[in-house]
Amino acid sequence: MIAIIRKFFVFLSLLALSFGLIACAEEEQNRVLSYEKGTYLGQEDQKLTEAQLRQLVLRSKGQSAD
Amino acid sequence: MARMKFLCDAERCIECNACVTACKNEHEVPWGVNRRRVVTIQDGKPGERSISVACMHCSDAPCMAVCPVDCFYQTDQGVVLHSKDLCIGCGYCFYACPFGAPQYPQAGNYGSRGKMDKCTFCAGGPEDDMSSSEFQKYGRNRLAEGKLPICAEMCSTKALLAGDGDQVSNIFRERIVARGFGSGAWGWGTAYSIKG
Repeated sequence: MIAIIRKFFVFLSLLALSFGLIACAEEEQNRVLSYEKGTYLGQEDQKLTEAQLRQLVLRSKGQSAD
Repeated sequence: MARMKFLCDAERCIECNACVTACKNEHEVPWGVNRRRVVTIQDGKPGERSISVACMHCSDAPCMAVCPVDCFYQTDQGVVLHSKDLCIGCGYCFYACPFGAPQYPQAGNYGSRGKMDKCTFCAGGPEDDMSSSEFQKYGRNRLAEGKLPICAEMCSTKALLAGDGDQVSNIFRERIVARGFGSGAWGWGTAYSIKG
């Protein structure tokens, strides 16, 4: 009987441990957990296209109109 | 294309605060947070000057240097942006910034201020361009729409200039030549021992 209870407790402990480890999964926490000094590790930004940049340059010139 | 830059012509700024209002309205900036402010010296006295101040998108940004979680990055156009997902609200960037640009939604001690908020040069954040999550966290992405920052675009006296650094400096150079004196820049007289 004691052996069965012991096995049951071992099983419960392993189950709790595995649940604990799952909770540590990086993707579940949805945030960066380890950093590299001086390196941005967040989501990457989209770059502006050539057409957008041309439009911005034209708009900059427009500010000179007095 | 050169780096994106702001330049405020102190000879033209009339302290109307429209840039501040336009910024808050465009990005739906919450109470207590001002991404842009108008600073006035010698208020009510001869030599009064005002300039509009926000994040200057420094080439070698001190906020980037001090951030313990490296939540800052620079775009190809030199705009200094940050990720609110990475920010821990420690406030180090606020202490490092010479312009007082970083702002926090709550007053409090370390870690209780909330995520840092600052001028994005109307370039949004790392989220997908013009997405609702980008707007919620960082405000409108006008650069992706082919428009310049709202504060500069609606400045009635064209005191506040924004855009490609080469273009902005050309415009300012033309003004100085037309005026025939100094740069009109804040601190010019102090730097070159000229009154006014």
